[in-house]
Amino acid sequence: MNLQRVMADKRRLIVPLAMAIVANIVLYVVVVFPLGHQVTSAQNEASVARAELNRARQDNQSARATVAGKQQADSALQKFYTDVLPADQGIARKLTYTRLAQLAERAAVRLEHGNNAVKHEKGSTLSKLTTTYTLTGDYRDVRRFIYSLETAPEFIILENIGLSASTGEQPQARGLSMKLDIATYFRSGDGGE
Amino acid sequence: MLRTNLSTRPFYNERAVHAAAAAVALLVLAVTVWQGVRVVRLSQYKTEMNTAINRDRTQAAQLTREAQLTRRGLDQKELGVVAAKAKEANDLIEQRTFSWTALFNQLSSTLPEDVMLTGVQPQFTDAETHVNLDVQGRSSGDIDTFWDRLDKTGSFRDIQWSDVNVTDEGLHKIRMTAVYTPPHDAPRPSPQPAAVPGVAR
Repeated sequence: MNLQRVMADKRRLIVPLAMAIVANIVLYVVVVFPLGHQVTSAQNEASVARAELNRARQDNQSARATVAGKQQADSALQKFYTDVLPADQGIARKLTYTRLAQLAERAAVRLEHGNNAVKHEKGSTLSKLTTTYTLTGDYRDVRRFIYSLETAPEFIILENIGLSASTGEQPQARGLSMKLDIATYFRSGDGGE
Repeated sequence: MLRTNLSTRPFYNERAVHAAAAAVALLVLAVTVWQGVRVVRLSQYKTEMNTAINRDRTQAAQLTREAQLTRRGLDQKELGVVAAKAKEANDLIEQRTFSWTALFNQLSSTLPEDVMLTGVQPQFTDAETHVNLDVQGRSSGDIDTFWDRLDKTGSFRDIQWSDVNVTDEGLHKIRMTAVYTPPHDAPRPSPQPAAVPGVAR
């Protein structure tokens, strides 16, 4: 088949077809391809904008949480200072003397010697009253005394325990001499505010 | 007289040419339709994307402004003071709720016959409780047995020793330090003061 002759004979048919093909190519190059690129860029930009929005949301929530957290902490601190800690030094001293003596008596241990000291931590509104007691008793009674200290409703912290057996026998078997460092805290009001 | 030589212009298959032209025309039409649809869809999608971008950016700017305003209303110094107080209170509560009974239960069950506990002191850090144990035993073997038993409880780890002393009577005195994790079923002192919520700054 002579292609040139076919082209010549069917020019009316082939020319519009060729023009349509060229128009399609031009449409793709000028419109469709750039538009696809623009959409891809827009998608990336939208992802960035979405990430920025998420960060802004988190930042906003964090700021709100800080405000709410501060309010909750303020309220819990007030409760801690007023309901949990001894109100003042007098009550704290009474707690480490009268109350501990009661607990010792109930547990059948003997308070032999005690002294205390108040220390104010720099930058804190709390003062610490540390009491050091030496007491003696059977191992079981000493354990009972420690348990009663732990379960007392008052805010007493047992910081340190030193043990020695006066008879040199097994602690579980007979008398123990025990040195306790007990602390409580009260609000002194100065410093840190 | 007819001079044209008909043999030089043979007939060709016009039907095949028409069929090919029709196929190409159909293909061109299909591609044109596809491109048209794609242009419409991409344009719509682009518009939607731009709208979303503008909406997200506006919202982000608004949220950032709100966060700045919220933070501006907070006194950072005061916030620092509250955070420090909350930490101090929580440290004290942690010390108060430490169960000496649970610790003694574990120590009693691990102490060999010839080893005596002479001192116990817990220390509280942010995440861990360290326990200093002063013990004395008749021989290093007794202390070694105690060490092994402590290890096996699972509640004491990273056990280290310091300050070893052998007295004139031959007693071995040693200070041991361990990271202590109370057993889950340990009795908890009660009543327990509620923890103070921390303040994120």
